[in-house]
Amino acid sequence: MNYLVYVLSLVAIYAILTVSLNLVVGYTGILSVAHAAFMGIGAYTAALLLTEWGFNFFLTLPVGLAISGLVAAGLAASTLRLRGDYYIIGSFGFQVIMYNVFLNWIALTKGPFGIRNIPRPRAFGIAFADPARYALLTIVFLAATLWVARRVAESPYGKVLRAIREDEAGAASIGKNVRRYKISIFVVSSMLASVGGALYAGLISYVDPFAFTINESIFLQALVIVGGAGNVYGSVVGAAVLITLPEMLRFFDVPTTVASPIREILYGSLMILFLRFRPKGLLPERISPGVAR
Amino acid sequence: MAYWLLVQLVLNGIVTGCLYAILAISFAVIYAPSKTFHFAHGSVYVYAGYFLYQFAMEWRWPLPAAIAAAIMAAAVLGVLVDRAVYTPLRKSGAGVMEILLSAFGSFIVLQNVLLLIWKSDPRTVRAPEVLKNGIPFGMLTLTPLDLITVAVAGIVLGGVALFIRTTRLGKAMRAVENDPEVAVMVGISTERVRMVAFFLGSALVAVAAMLTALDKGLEPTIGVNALLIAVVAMIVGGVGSFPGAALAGFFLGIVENLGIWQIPSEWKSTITFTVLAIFILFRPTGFFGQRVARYSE
Repeated sequence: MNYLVYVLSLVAIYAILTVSLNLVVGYTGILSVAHAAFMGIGAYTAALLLTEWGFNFFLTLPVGLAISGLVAAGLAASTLRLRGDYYIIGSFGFQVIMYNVFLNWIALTKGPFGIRNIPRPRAFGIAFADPARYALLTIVFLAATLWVARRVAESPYGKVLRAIREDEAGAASIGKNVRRYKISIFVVSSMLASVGGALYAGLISYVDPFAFTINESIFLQALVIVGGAGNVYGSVVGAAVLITLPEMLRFFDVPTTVASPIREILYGSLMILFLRFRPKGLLPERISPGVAR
Repeated sequence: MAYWLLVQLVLNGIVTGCLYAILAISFAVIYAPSKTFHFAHGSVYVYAGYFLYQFAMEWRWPLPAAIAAAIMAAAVLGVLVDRAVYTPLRKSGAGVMEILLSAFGSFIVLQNVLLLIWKSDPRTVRAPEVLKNGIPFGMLTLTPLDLITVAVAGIVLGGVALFIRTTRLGKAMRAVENDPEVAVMVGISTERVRMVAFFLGSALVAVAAMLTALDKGLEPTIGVNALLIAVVAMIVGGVGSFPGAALAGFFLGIVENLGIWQIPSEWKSTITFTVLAIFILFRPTGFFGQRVARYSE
């Protein structure tokens, strides 16, 4: 039972991360491989403030939001100037650097040992140490993320994002400040990722650098693609499918040294197959009336 | 004393730079005609090293034969990735973003298949001892392997330049790079050019992998850094310019080694990326090449 609740929390956390990445990749058409870095910023911020400074979990969230928002704004402002495929290098380089920071800034992050014994959140006299309560908490956060994402996607602002994806020069020609739209959505997406990261730290109760590699960023891309780029509910479905499917391996008594590569091969090949045979994903994008293609 | 140290670091930088120049050219050779952001190039690099390990250490082939076979195998692997993943996707009308995503997928699949075959522990390929014994030049030392690296880089870069400039295939590659539609009109097979580009680029990255495997050994994760260097060198050198890419490779090698003087070596890739960031902000055209920044503020 506890195991099922644990998987449920994991699905909700990954759904938050996927929905937030979808805003950038699916809606705006900006590819970013730095999402795991922002997840890591949220996770480390929460972990450090909880263990070293005795913060309340819910007070670590605004700090993580602020840090990831500022970093994302700086990254987006400098790299989104790049043309074509080259801006991907910006996020690729940033991802590699953040991993190096988590791994090598030992004074702060404890390097490869990571930060252990992260306490479970508590607030208003309710402790979320109980797995079921924690699962409930992650689902509440997922609902909030979905609300934000839908508000963004269905507003006039979201329509401009799609216009940028379909025809950037066209969007600019009708007077939209493309750059400002891109930077702002990237900031929102990265801030949501930091919340996902903080919840992840609370669930696993330790963080180490190996959870925030470029492979993790690509995994999140796979969730977006399989679920359906440009559909927020698709991202929830994508996370649910790709998180639970490899969990089945546990029932076949496969050693972890084999199970984890198999898990990654599964999602890597699913991503390639979906791109080839069903690029719209499990839940395709729905264009609401009034949006001309 | 510090002066000699500085000269030594510059020398080491030149040797590293030779390796990086090969990496940069290997990526540029594929990118220029195919415009494919071949992220799995990093995986081909790692596979080349492990092929060498398999042939030379497990199957005990003589080193020259093992090296030749590993380079061939890696070149074939590169072509296979293009044929199996990128080409069908491109023919089904996918855009740049879908192909890039599929490249990430290929990278993940290849890296994890490697983990299943060779496990995650580091591997070494035993090279003859003489290769690694330092030869003193006054206060400076270089190993025979360093000298071989410089020589190989010279041969490889010269060979690629000759190939691109003088042979029919090389010229066809440039034609496809400049204008694929006109290239087709004058009877160039773009498919064939793509295959040659993937074959050549993968063989070149394998050459760099051989030198690294003999010098430092192998780990399954070394591909990401190699790819980062190749891509950054291509941009810093100026996209579309082979000499620029090679020169930027040298430049990165030297900067990185001078950086080690003051900064611990774990931060190497941070130095590489900082160089990129400075170039993007202040000189978006790279050494020689087209602008990569869209907004000209």
